[in-house]
Amino acid sequence: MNIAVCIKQVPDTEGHIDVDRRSGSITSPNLVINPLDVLAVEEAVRIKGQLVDVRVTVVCMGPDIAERALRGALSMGADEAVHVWDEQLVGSDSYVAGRVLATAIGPEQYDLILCGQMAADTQAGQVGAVIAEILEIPLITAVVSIDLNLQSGRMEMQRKVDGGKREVVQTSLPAVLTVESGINKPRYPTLRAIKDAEKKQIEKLNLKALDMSPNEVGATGSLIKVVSVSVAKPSIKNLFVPDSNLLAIDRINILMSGGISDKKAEMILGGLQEAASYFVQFVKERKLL
Amino acid sequence: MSIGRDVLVIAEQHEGELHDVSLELLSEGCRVADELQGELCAVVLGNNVGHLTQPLAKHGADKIYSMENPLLVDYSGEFYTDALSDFIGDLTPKIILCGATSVGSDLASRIAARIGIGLVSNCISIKIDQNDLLFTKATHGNQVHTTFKCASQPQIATFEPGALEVKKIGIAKKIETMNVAASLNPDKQKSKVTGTIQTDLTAMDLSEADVIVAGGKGVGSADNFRLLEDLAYALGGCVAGTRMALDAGWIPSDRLVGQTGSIVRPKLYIACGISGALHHTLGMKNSKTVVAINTDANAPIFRIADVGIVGDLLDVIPSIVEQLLELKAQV
Ligand SMILES: Cc1cc2nc3c(=O)[nH]c(=O)nc-3n(C[C@H](O)[C@H](O)[C@H](O)COP(=O)(O)OP(=O)(O)OC[C@H]3O[C@@H](n4cnc5c(N)ncnc54)[C@H](O)[C@@H]3O)c2cc1C
Repeated sequence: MNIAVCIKQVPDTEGHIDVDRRSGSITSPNLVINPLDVLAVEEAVRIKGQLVDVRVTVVCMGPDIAERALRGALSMGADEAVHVWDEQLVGSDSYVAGRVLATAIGPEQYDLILCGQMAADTQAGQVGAVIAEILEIPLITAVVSIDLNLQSGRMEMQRKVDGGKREVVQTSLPAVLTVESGINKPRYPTLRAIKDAEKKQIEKLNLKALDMSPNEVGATGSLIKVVSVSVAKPSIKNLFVPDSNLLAIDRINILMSGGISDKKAEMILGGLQEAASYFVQFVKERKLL
Repeated sequence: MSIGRDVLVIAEQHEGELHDVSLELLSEGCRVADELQGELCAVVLGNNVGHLTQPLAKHGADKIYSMENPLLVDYSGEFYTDALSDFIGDLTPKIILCGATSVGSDLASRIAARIGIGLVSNCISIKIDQNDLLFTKATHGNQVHTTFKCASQPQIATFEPGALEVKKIGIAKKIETMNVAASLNPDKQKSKVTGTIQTDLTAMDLSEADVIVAGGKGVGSADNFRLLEDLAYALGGCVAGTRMALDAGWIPSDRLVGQTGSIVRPKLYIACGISGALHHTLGMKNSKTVVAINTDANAPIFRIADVGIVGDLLDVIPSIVEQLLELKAQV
């Protein structure tokens, strides 16, 4: 089985993000592999450990520095890496990224294409769908577990749906799967694996190699364009006095996040039955049952 | 029809019942359509969904399209995309609105990819600037607000349930309803849903729970915690608790809510015998509705509750559970 995993290098959104409103640039001191893509790599490597003859190829579109992301994935156990970049790709949206990745992956090369459900920077969740559409293969989003007992070439998996439920889906292969948090716990590569990954050859592809024209990509080819960016500011809510036994940092965080809103609770002091009926009526009306 | 000025809301239904997000989208769609001087259209897919046109009309839709086909009874990404893509191609709306639910997010990404149109998922707001629609959404771990403009027409945006308000229900306008045939080929279906599993409520991640029944020191004993389990069971929710409950050994550590535990935002959070210390409320203040049960009428938890019941949880909870079970027995 051949598995392709699409990975993106993103600013570490767990840490501080710098926003320059004027230039529109968003930077962070740390670049990481998109956390859900790490799970996709882990899942591919897990499959490789359980089935015979599995090759895992990681594919990344991004500037030169994105090579770090590919090396990271190799150190987790991927076999090969493909790095797609061209200056013309600057300013591409998720739609273009999906098209470029689909072209790099190509038809009929892979049985399984794994992506993270969304990128932590754009929070779009679009790339997997575009790849599936272009390659004309099925798409299953928000996958949280994969059953490796293939039944006549079909794969079964579970996807996360609202209300804590799981949908069981069967699909023919090849297919694109986007993975959600909870699918696995990614491994920490060993020092030896990190060293070995440094020595591996990485295949480089540019637009010409993909036979794509500059008009199809970058800002020109994109369907959505960024107009402006700003630091997300919470709306100010009522504060209750942060109690002094909280750490200073937590008190600051409460203030910064807009505090806690003071709701005017409907107070019920009446009899037991009354209180219970009020509650039941309330949850019924709010459709919480 | 006003070409390129209409708003299309993709209404979501499950087992013949409209998802609330559809009404929220209609309210927002109404505003946008007015500003664009276009019409507000709604489309609903399913089988036997004719009864849904009334509520859709009441919430402002000018035109309602229903697509009926036995293959559309339950959501199928492939069939819904096939059915809608052709329809959208004919309708040529300016903008399509869809819920950022598990169904809507999946569907919107497929439609955008199929037709090749711009998608802005999990929007916070839409503004109209001359002829352009400006979409703002949170990005970069919700630390940044980014505003986008789409180069395509139509364009599609999704909104999380609860992000928009439902405007007052008006009187149903004179509406046009139309049935649209969906030509679907079951032989072409490549992936298919074979079942749905309810995850074990005691093992489910708290962040996924719609309903959480949380207990604090006021619960008093591990035995009394059973009452909370009964309530959670009756509501289809998870049990959780405060640090005090954890320290007393009444809940496992993965059920702790608060600064040092999980941050949760269920639709319903029921705080039983919880004082409402900031360490705890930090983890649950974003719950959609909070109900508090406490003997102390001055407990701080009541300040962030929608409903406060002043009383002994040992009496109140069994009484609620009894009524809930009666209600269930009726249906
Ligand atoms: C660094 C630090 C981190 C912390 N992190 C967390 C955290 O992540 N999560 C967390 O929860 N706590 C945390 N705490 C603890 C927190 O400060 C509070 O002590 C704790 O939340 C209080 O728990 P409680 O509400 O269950 O108990 P109490 O504050 O003792 O409240 C019990 C309540 O039950 C009511 N009651 C009593 N009997 C009944 C009855 N029969 N019926 C109805 N009501 C009744 C009482 O009126 C009272 O309001 C942390 C503390 C520190 C110092």
